[in-house]
Amino acid sequence: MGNKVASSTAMIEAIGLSKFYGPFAAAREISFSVNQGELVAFLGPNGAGKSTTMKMLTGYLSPSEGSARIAGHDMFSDRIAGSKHLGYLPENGPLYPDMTPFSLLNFFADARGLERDYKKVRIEAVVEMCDLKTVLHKAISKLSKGFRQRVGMAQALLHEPDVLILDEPTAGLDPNQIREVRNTMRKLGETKTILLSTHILQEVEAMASRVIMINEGRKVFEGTVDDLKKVKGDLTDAFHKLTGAAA
Amino acid sequence: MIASALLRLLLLDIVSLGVLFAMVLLLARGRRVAYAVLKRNFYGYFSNPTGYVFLCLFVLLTSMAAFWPHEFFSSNLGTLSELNKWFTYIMLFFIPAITMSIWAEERRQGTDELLLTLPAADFDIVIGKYVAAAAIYTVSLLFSQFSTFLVLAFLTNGEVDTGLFFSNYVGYWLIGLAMIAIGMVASFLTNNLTVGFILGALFNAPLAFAAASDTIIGRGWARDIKGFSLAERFDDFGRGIISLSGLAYFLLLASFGLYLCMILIGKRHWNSGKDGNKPSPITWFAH
Repeated sequence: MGNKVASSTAMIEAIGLSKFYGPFAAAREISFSVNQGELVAFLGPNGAGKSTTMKMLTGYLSPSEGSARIAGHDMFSDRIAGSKHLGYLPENGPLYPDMTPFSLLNFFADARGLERDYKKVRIEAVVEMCDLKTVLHKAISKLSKGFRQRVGMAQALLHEPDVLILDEPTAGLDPNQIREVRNTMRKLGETKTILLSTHILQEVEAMASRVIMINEGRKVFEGTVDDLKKVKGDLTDAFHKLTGAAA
Repeated sequence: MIASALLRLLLLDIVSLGVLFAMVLLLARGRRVAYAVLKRNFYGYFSNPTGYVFLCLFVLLTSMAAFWPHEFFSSNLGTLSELNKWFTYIMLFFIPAITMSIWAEERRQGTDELLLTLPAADFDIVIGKYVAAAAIYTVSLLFSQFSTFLVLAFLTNGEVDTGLFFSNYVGYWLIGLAMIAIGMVASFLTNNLTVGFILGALFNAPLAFAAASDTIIGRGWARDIKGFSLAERFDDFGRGIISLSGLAYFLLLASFGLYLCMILIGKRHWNSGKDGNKPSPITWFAH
């Protein structure tokens, strides 16, 4: 998609990532990298280990084996430096229900150490980008899912990170909202490196330059969308085949 | 007379609060994330009606404990000796109310993932929340202080021993600092607020009830066990002495609680690798 030449600097690197909970392997030797300017889709059935892998990439969890790097910083030994480059939207878009979007953005801006003037500029910018003006001072608990997702996205974009890791950003959204997310992703993808997990295969087709698929903790596919289609017919069939689901 | 007594108390309060503010400002300058977390948790508590309910209950309970028992009138002394007897037990209800949601709510909402992926050490998050809880407690204590002081001032027509009174409240404050740290540990162990409350009370209970250990254990042992209780170590403050040993006891307890919290917040990093090795809590701090 597009004729932009992606630089070859790896901004997100998973190097043999594994996570064991006792005998259970939530992730097993997952290796891939996302280069600067790429938008990579992370696919897999529920429970495949997508969220676990993303949690290891963001430094929330330590891997049992292997290492994760963001913008060249190892997220186990150098997490703080790495997380300065990272905007993260966890699964289910967690937020503080008693706060308003404005107070939440203010909190995260303070927590990220944004100076007062820059903070004001950035909050205005993300409010504009995520279209939050009408709900800026409404309690988050009273907002619809679409708005809540946008607040989560605003929080991730606040500090102008180079890298975005988004865990199912379109879950539960209606088709119109999904389209808005797609447009936002397109715009962001021009300057940022994005890894997002999704179930919505048509979005993968529309947005992603590459696809990584995992199943039962292991990587089962890495390549372009066209490569994925070559596996079997259309994306849904390819997904089905690679994840070994019963016919 | 009453006015001058009140003025003396206000002076002592302003000086000590000034010192505390200065320390918080140092925190704000040095550790931004801790300060942001502190502000959010502090204002968050007071934006919720439940917070005020607990605050009122605390003031009510302390006032009742101070003035209701007939010993207060029969001993005919304008002191808080009755409240001193009951204070740690009142705290067993009030402290868990503050600490139960400190971490349990973050885990329940999933916002712990946002906090722990910020460019900040886990310690900053823990200390921010601890200081917020301590600040909430300090505000509650101030209300209780003014309430009981006014009653004493009126009853004694301004002849209340302000120094002794203030020392008592310093002791209460330190008890709170220690119990908050221990109550916080409970919040790290569960997602459920009620369980957090019960565990918070449970973990603090031995320290509170150790003072009554002579009812079930022989005198020799009981004396040693009593020495570890909150009430026993508070005794100096109840006599008007701000003692170093008392200070050390409460601050060390608080540090111990915070240390346990640090271990628990790092629990998500623990794993049994394929060959079963776990990073130990001690090596974890090396990061």
